[in-house]
Amino acid sequence: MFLLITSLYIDPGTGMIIIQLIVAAFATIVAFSKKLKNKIRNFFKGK
Amino acid sequence: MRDGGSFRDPSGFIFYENGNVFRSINFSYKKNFDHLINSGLYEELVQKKLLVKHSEVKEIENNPSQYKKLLVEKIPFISYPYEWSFNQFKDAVLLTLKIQKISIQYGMTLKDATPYNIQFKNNKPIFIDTLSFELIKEENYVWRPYKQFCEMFLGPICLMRYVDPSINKLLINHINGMPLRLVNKLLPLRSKFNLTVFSHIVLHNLIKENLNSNSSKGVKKSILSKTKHLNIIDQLEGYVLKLKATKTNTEWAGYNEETLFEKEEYVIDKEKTVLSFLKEERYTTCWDVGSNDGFFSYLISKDNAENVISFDIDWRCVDRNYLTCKEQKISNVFPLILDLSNPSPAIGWLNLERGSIFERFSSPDLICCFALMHHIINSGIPFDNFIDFLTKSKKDVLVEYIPLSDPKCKIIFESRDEEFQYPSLEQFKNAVSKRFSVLRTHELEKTNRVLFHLRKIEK
Repeated sequence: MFLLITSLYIDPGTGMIIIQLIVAAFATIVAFSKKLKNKIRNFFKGK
Repeated sequence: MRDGGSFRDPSGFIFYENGNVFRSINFSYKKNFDHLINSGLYEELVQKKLLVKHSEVKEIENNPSQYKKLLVEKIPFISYPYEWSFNQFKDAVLLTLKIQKISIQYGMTLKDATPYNIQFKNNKPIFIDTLSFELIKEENYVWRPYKQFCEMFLGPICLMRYVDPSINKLLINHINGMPLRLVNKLLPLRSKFNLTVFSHIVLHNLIKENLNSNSSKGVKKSILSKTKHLNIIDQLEGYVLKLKATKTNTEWAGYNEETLFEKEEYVIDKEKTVLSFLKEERYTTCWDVGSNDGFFSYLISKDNAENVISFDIDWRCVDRNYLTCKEQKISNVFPLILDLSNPSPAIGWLNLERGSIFERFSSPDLICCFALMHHIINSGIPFDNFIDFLTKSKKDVLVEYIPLSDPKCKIIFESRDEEFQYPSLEQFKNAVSKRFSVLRTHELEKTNRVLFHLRKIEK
């Protein structure tokens, strides 16, 4: 209930930047690991 | 007349005149609109059939805030996300992400991310809100509608994948999207091991719930780079692209295939009868209610109807129907989820924002109800009310009478008591004759089922 009340008094946009910065860090890890996987795959395929 | 749902956007609104759809654009949106047109973004999106076309109307109304008036391409049937099957919903999510990616290349971004901005035309999703694009300011790629995207698209599709594919019905109650707190509670633990679900839902919710209004003051001027933003969009796109509907079978999913052998002659006879009944008939819009995999919808759509709305209560049937339409490029059959005993209501502000299904899908000139009446009666709807529904047709009805002695009826009504009322063939004929002329009837082979071709009596 406390969480509900506090969140009602927060602008929906609040924290948008923090959240996206953190999420972007995860997304970058995913993007990097995909690239790495492709590089390794291509190396073994001899491309 | 102004559209009841077009009031949230300060940049403009939709209105109707003489059956045409218009969009009024306010001066406050001038800079964004000019960039959308002059940068080539509009052209690319329209060329790729991702955005509705518009043409500028020269005469301007007596409205000082109006910058432009557009005549907008009409979408024949308006549907909402709680009426879509899994793959329809998935295609809508992917379209939003695709448009965001293209917009970024032109220096623009979507300012909102809601499935109400998407409709289906020829079984392809299309973006309908020309005013959703805004310029990226100061090279900061923080996506304003990110939370909205998670609550309107990502949360619901994750729940559809991991909990129940028909859970998108909850969007009727949550017009602004499913709260992340709720999504997080409903998602099973195994789904949270995925990095996309973990970061965009679990972590997102955790951060949001522990925020107070002061905690973000220090980072308000932080900037998210284009690469980082595109990484987020790519991650979301890659995740959604791989999502597949659960393999759990539904009550009706295999019905036509499973029973094909036992009823082969019946189906062949029914197909022939439908074609012979409709031989000379041409309809504008047909509702095929309880269409299952869409077999009869396709049949009628070939020569007898310009458009067929293929309704079924079962998401799996609608999904299969949609995928078949896509694969076979059937553009005039539109599969959609409908529970006839509880159709989509009008929702939103003053119940005017999103119309009920019957407000949006105005009277067809043909209603088909094949093998449906016993299910309607089974759901507690009296037979007379079912006849009332049939009168929604402006002209004709094809309805299959199922006798109580039918094997399927015996299963359904096994435990009913003496009070239970089921119409005999005579009672059925008498009841429909009050509202319709009976044009033709035919008893279907190997059954006692009777197909009726009815025409509405003009008052």
